[in-house]
Amino acid sequence: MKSLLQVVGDSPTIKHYINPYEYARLVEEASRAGSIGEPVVRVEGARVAQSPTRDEYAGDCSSVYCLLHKRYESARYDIEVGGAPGKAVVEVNSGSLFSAVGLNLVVSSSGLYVLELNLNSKGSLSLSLTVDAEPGSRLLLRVKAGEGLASYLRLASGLGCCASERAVLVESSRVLRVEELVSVDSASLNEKAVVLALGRSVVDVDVLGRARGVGPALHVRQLLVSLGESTAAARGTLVAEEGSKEGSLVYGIEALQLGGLAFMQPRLEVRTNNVAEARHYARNVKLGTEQLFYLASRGLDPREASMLFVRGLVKEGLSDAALSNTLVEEVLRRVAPHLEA
Amino acid sequence: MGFDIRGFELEELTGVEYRSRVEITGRVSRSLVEEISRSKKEPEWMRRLRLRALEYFEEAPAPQWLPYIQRIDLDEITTLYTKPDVEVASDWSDLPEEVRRIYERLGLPEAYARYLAGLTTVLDSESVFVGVKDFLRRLGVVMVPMEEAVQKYPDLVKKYFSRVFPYTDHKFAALHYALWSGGVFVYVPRGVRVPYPVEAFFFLGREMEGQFEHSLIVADEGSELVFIEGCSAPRLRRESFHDGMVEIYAHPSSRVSFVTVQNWSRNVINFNNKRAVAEEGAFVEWVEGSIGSKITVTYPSTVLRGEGAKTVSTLLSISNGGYIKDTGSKVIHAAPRTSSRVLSKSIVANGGLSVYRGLTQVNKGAVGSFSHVECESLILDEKSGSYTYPIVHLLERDADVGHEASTLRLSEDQVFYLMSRGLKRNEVISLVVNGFVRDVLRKLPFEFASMLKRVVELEFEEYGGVG
Repeated sequence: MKSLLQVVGDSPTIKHYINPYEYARLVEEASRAGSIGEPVVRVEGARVAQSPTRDEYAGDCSSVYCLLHKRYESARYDIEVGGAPGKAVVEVNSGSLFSAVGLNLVVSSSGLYVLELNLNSKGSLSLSLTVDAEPGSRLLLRVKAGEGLASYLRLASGLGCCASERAVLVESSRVLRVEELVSVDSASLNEKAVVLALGRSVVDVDVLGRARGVGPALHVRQLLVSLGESTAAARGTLVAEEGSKEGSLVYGIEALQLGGLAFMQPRLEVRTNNVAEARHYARNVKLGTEQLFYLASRGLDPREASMLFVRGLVKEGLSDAALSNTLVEEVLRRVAPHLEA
Repeated sequence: MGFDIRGFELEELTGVEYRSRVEITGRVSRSLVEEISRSKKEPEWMRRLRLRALEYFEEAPAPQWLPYIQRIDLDEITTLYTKPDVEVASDWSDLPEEVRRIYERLGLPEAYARYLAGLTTVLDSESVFVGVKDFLRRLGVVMVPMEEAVQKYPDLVKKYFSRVFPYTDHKFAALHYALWSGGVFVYVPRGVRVPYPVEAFFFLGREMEGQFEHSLIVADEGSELVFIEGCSAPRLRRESFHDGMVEIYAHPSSRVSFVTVQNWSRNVINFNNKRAVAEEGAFVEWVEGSIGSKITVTYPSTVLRGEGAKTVSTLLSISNGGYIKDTGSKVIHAAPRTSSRVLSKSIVANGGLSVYRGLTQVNKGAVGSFSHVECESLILDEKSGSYTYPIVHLLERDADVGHEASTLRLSEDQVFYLMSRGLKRNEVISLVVNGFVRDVLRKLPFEFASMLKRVVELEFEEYGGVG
């Protein structure tokens, strides 16, 4: 275990929003107690098969979380969705203290596809999800983590060509570490992620995006909504690789604090001078009295004004109307009671 | 006002010769630290502080987030304290000719005569010139070498020394406190507005040497001060190491501007630890022109501790050649209605690397606070790189915080457009660089703007000059 803990890096300021040592100790404890089990995966609306391959971790798997997952992954499943646009639901359950499972998601639909991923175990879950999406596909990935022990979600994808747009909605009532790896090679990806941290949860989303080739476009926008006494953190690094040409990198983080805390670290690494665009931003957003007054004078009551405000925040950055509307509805359904409060 | 560009001529000198009276060499150890303390005849409390810092240094791990400092071997820095064979002078003519000549080349006597209220120059590890004009004394301003302040004003020094930037902050801060020597102590009494800037100038004359000066500035309630920090070194064959520290304590309603023109030669590894505490209604301004050195790591920081305190940081860094500038600015909003602004510009060329590392933190209770951070990088060729790592921590929801950054490149389309209108390629680059830095320069007082503009011009001389 010591070698795993050695990979924990430090930083000039706040070290870690979720303590990786505590997570590693939890897994170690589960291992000693013989309580590392294979989770039960139930899938609705998609074809599923056990995957024979387990080589998904080449390259960027250097965090404590990923290394632990790699060590303890008990099974990997292929989930294939496609044909007509639609929806699939994946339920992950486990009675063990710690479980690790891998999912390969293959999306062959060119329309909007919604994948719901529900983490229901009270114990700690480690989930690695690789997404292989058709060019031009639009995907809404909805992750819901109920109350339970600290968990980990790894989201990896690679896109070789053409344009894709996707939205990710992470809703968590537990401590959840999310690591996302995105790579575009002469292709474009536009991603909007909304993180809803509920109760006393801590949700830490870390993105590593790489842009290679000619004209790659990688646009990542994240909206943090921290409710109650929760903490929402978004950070990551977008890299314009050496030799890439005319790339476009945009990394934006916005935080809407509805009682909770927010941490933001949008990082850029530009290793070439041949970039068309490389920018990032981070800001907190709030509906102030001036905006409320402005909207009230146009006939909107505070509730409607708040809804309009959140709608605008969620939609920003997404060009596909169906995808953004679906995401907006999902977010508003969860945030509305808090806005009214 | 006539400003000279300090240090550039010295870059071309092959040797700067002067004698030293005391040299303390060897590895960083308890006996070495005690020897430095003994040679300064320090009081017991300072000796103990050094030893505590040394213990911390020995136990603290090297920061992992600075990969390029893993290459630094501190054991190679053999001379950790050097006292030049010079008595402290208040008149230039009292300095030995070879030392005076260095400062004349740097234009310091002229600058002191024309526009500075006070000047301290540190050669290696000790102050060799301390000039304080009569009007400054009459105002009650104290400006003395740090060692003298420890002896003469122990209560005042104890109250502030290492309180703003403690040695427990990181390994190199601890190293600094264990080995510190030289530097300046400035105290501005209540309500006193110093009409002209004061300056401290640091010169590192030898290779394989460490310089650990400490500057402590205390601005009492309602006072005002502009402090200029200059740094230079001749071209050395091997590396030298600078680990300086600046602590500023701005009492309520005071204003402190701290201006750095860092122009170390290309062999100097430069750690500069800078932090200020601003009390109620105080204003702290950092202006950082980071031009020279092999590696620079500096993040001027302000803790806004009193209600309505403000800070502004304006940073300009240039990495021309295979040099690294890891700079940024940090602000902690720890009181209501505090505000901060950061503007950072960096230019990288010929394989240089620029890193912006910033922090904005709004603590719980700092309601109505405002922060805006803006950073831009200009990359002039494919060999160079630019990284930006901003951190925003919001522990209070009633705040207005924004960060934006972008990386620009020298666009071949722009070059073609301007060349088709009769400009040569190097003139186009000059125009682009000049336009890029203009935002920073126009925010500075005229004198600093002229000085930095000239430095930029010289740095990009190979492109045909700028402006």
